[in-house]
Amino acid sequence: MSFDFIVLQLFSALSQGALIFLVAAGLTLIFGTLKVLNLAHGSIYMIGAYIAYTVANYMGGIIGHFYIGIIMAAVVAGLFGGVMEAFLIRPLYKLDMHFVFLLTFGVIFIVLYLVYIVWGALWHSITAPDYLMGAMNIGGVFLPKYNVFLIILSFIIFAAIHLFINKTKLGLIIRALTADRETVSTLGYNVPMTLTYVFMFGCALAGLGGALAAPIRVIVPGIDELALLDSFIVVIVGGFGSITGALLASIAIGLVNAFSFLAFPKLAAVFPFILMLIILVVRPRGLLGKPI
Amino acid sequence: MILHVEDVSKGFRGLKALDNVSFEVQAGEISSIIGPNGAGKSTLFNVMTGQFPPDTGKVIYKGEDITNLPPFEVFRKGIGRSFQKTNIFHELTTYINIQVAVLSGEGRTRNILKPAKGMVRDATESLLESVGLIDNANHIASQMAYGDQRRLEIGIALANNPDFVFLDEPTSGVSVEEAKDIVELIQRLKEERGLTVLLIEHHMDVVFSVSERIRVLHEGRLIFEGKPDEVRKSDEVQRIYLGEER
Amino acid sequence: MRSEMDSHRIDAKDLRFWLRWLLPIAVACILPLFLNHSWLSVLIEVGIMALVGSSLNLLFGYAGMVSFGHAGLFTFGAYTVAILLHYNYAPFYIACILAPLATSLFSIIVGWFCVKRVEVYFALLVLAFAQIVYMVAYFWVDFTGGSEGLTMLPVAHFFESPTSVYYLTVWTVGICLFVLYAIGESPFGYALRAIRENRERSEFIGINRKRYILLAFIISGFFSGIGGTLMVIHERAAFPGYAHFMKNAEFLLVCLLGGMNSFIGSTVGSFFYVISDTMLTRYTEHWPIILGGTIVFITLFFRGGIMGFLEKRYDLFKRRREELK
Repeated sequence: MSFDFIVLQLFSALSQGALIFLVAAGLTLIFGTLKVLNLAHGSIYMIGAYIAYTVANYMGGIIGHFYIGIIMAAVVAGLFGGVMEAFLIRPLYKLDMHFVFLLTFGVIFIVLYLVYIVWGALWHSITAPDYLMGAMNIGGVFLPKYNVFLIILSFIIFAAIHLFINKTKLGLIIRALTADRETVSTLGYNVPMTLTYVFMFGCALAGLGGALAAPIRVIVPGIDELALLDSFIVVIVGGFGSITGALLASIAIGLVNAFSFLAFPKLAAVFPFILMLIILVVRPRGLLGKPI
Repeated sequence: MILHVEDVSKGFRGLKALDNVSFEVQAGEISSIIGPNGAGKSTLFNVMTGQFPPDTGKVIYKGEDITNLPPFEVFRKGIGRSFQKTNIFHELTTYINIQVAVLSGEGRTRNILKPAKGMVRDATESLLESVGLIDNANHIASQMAYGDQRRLEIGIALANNPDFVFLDEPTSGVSVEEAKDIVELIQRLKEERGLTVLLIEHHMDVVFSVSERIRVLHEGRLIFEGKPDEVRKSDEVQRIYLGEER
Repeated sequence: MRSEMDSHRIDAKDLRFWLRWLLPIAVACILPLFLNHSWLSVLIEVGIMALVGSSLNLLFGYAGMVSFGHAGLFTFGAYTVAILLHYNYAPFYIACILAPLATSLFSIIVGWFCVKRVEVYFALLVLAFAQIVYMVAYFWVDFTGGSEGLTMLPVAHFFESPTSVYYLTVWTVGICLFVLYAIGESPFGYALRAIRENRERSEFIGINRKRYILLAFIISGFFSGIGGTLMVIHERAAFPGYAHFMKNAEFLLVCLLGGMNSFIGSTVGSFFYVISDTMLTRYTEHWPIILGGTIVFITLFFRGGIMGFLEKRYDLFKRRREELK
């Protein structure tokens, strides 16, 4: 096993982690602020992937279609989230959480059906622009350019979210909402709309993740399930509501995935769950979550 | 002396909610804790009933250190507690609200195979009568009038025949008439059951009419303790409550 | 929304009470005269689902705790029997008794970890354990048969006929449901309701919430294990798909659909769900939108489920009759 090989694996792990982070970040943000666990989160990831595919398909010749696809994916995902939150979830806020839980579960099937109707059951794929494909030489090791792109982009997005939450006024309001929703509403802020925006943002992130994953993954009904499970693991390992925790957990899972695939290819999928189990036993609040 | 609070302090992220509070409660007395909003009264109750432990200090009941006991164990020592915000079992009937509390008080809730329906009927009915809710027995608790809910609130706190009961603003939100009834209720219950009652109250007429002893809390510190007359005459207390007379 | 269970209405001494239990069982017993094996098979699935659903309802409807992992418990029971039979570790009847007991043990372990947390955390943690069951069943190919599962299991000769399995299911589920009902009506069941209605106050009336939820979880696991055993006798096989994470939601849906506020709700829900699922998947490829749409519709407008809806209608009917007098 050469040094190059290990570095390559490491990079593959990091880029996988980057993708998982984008989806999971949205979920943990939504959960932290709205206290809603959106089971349809994986479905929104899937919508993002399909939108990216559609844009690539119809605008294939146009320069920059790849980026347009990514942006459209995030926008459509965000809008879908907005509609879902405003019409389906908001009426249920006052009730026990399990109703929202079950409702989002129902949405999974609705989205699955829509995807099936519009795009069919066959799998699709898209390619990234040429300059992002292939490998680049970094310090003697040849790394896939797209993976590097993903890693850099995710860190930028993470930094952006982190700054936003901690340094802006809106971010402060969101943090306050996480702690005490009632008090914030007495201060005169439009709480329902703010919550909707957070939900939309979380969904947009998921859609973004789906679109960015599209060039290196297959696009087919069913990718929602995998994305959802991965997000769950990240949210549990990283800690509910913590973006930084989600980043760390995503990296951890990317690494676990990559290296367990090398060591136990048949059982590789189990290891993230073993990690989750260990965290549940040793540190139930997750890496950076608040004590439960 | 039935309850002894010793140097209890509690802080939340730098804010000192309770600052070395110490006092004793004598058996069989009705006493109150008063103080402006934010003085730490509810926090004191929460610490004393086990919701969270104090940073320092002890709570000693009947000679036993109960400081770190969780609420369900505090209950088992014969202590009841009612809440300021009505904290009943909303969708159950009034009867079952009391019945389940009585059953739990008698330690019978571990029983998984006998039907609960006919159990502890006498105790439940007598308690319902004591708090004046016997006619509302089959009403869903959350659908009753607010004043009745407050009675139920107190009733649940008494279900295990406690010797000591904490009442957190029992007359909160009720009309003057209702408040008078509740005061009567508290006094009658104290006589009937030999209870020791510790109240938090904002309604000054209630406080002065029912208390044998009053303690004044301000910014987490116990600044005054004495008989109602003494409290009325105290300049310090007047200063704190200036403009807050009701 | 009324959360009162039908307990206050009829007494055990009342004949109606016993009729409500024995009549459906009697009807179920004569059905094989009219239905073919395919329908009996569907009814067996209804029964199993009703059993697991009702055991879930002890946690969900009575104690207000969402458990998103009952498929894991169910599958644990199923695989225990399957493994014991496949490798001939135990004779048939012993295996059938061991499985629910093993599932209870498993529930103690899982429950112990999960009850420390509340609400959604609890649900997610249970889901995590259920997913682990799935993964073990799916990936430990050498022991559990992997994605193919364990098939052609040697059941007792008596149960090789679908009709006998049907009768076994009817009586097992009938008795188990009765026991579950009794537990729900016991002081313990009342304590669970208190926990649901007011988590904080329940502690202040002396209920050690964590211990009671754990106990409810263990009881629930026991009956889910029986459900898994019945499934294996019925299918003569165990598949990892039993623990697929969507299945967890199916059990919850069955409780919700029928009405989580009444005991019979999960049974009613099972009828509707299994039968519509069977017919839907057979006759239309549009089943996801119907399933998804139904779930969304119920959570938005019919949270009391079918029984909740019927009860409201009945109350209205009674009130109108009173007014007319």
